[in-house]
Amino acid sequence: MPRTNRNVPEPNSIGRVGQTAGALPPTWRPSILVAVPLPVVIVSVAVFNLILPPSAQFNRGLAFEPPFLNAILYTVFLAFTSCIVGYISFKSYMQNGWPFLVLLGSGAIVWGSTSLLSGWLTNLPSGPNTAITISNTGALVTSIFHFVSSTWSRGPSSRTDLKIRKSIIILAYGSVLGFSALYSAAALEGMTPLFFVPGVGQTVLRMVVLGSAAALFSISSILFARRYFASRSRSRTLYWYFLALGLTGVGLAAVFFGRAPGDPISWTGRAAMFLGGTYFLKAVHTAFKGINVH
Amino acid sequence: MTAPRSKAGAAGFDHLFSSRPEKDLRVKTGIVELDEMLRGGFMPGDAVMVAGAAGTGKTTLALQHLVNGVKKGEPGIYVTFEELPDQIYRDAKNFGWDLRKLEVEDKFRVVCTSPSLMLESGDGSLLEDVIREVQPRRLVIDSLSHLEMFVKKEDMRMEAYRLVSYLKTRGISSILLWESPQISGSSFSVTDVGLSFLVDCIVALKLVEIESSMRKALVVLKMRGSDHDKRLREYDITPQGIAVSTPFSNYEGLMTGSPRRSYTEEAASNWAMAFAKNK
Repeated sequence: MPRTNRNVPEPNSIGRVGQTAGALPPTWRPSILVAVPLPVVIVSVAVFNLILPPSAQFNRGLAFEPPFLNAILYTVFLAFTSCIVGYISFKSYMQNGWPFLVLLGSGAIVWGSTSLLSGWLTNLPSGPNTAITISNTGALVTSIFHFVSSTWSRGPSSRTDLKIRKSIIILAYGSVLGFSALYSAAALEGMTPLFFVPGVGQTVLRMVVLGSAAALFSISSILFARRYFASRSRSRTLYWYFLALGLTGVGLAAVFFGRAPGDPISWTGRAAMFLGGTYFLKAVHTAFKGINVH
Repeated sequence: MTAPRSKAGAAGFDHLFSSRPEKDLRVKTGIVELDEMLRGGFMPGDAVMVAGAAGTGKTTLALQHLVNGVKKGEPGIYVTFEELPDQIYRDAKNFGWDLRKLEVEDKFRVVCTSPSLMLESGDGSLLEDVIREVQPRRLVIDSLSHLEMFVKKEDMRMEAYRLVSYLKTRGISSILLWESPQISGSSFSVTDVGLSFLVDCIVALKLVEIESSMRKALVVLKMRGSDHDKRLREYDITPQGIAVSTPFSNYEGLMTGSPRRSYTEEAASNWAMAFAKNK
């Protein structure tokens, strides 16, 4: 039987106008749940701040600071996650040449290195001042890097030579690592100003440093959030990243209100920072997953 | 059909055995990056297959190899079955290679012949005469694929073997060009007549589509008796000839015809795009 048009089945399968040939990938909507810890931390700190006595009358029995716990948590949630962010920023800068990636990566490296050192120096016999000094100064430097990065609007560098790019980012990472090492050594030797006096509480300098760091982290988070909501292609990576910055900022602010290292407020703040570290990791994970827009 | 028979015997290999360091003995192409890939150059006396589709620069690479050889005092012969000498002189001139001048100096010869003539001739043949005249250390056949038109498929391997042996017994390092549009998909077969086993070294040239542009990739698939760079490297045909650049380290699947960025590179790209303004 010759083939004629009558043998051709009705084109039921042909889509109507506006239909796409294939199924679109399922859209990802930002989960409100992942943003919930932010207000929870703020409310918790406010409550603890109301019920806990001032530093001078604070009962040491309420503080929980077992040896090495801080060290392990800082290493896992802050140092490790920061290394991952530093690595992806390194690769990304090498590939694209955007200077803000050097800033992001350098910020992550400072945050990671100072967190690692301060975590392991938490239980020094001489007291918590060294760890607090390193941690808070690292936080301030990191927040500055993030703030500049969030306001950076210039495009990729015209330098396409990979050797030059490599030199730039290695120099940047090397410098911040050198800074962390030297500053930590200075803090250990007592060459840095006091940040915390046991039995008295935090110094004005610490208030300024920590307050500035918390503010800059929060502002960076807001600026990145604005970028996220303003963009046509909303990136999951950016979503997780600005939440991570927000949690870190809120966590630092919480520590600001702490009565003593290891008190409930400190732990609430640390928990927020650790969760922030997890969110940084999630941001990197979404970049690896490929389709990261929603 | 019979390929020219060797009369040189073992004497032809004399120059291959020397007290010079092994690296100095290598037959350098003169393309620095390619020589690096080959750990100094081709092995002396080896038969090298340069395989690739049309437009990949096989002829350019072969001519560059010969011209650079002449500069090092190694005379060369270019046997072509497809182009007329004038075409070759003109094309070479575009790269700054004056082949006529080299011919006048008896350091180079372009032999334009047909595969049947080359295969059927014996003593006193055209090739034999030219070899005696120029005393070449390097020879290029452009291209071995043309033999297929004159030889039955089942005899192709035997004829190629005779030709390779003939050149080897004279201690001539040869480059055999092969048109192989099929170095793609999931098969890495270079020829469908088993010539890959006859040659000592295979250099594959390939066009790859990356981000909507055609780029050229070069890889050393095989090199008997020597280590070599296994990575795919990008190359270009410049006004000075072939220029090999960096490896395609950021891409996977180039040989299978489905290039894609490596996992980490893709993530790095996504990372930058996530933070970039004005998306």
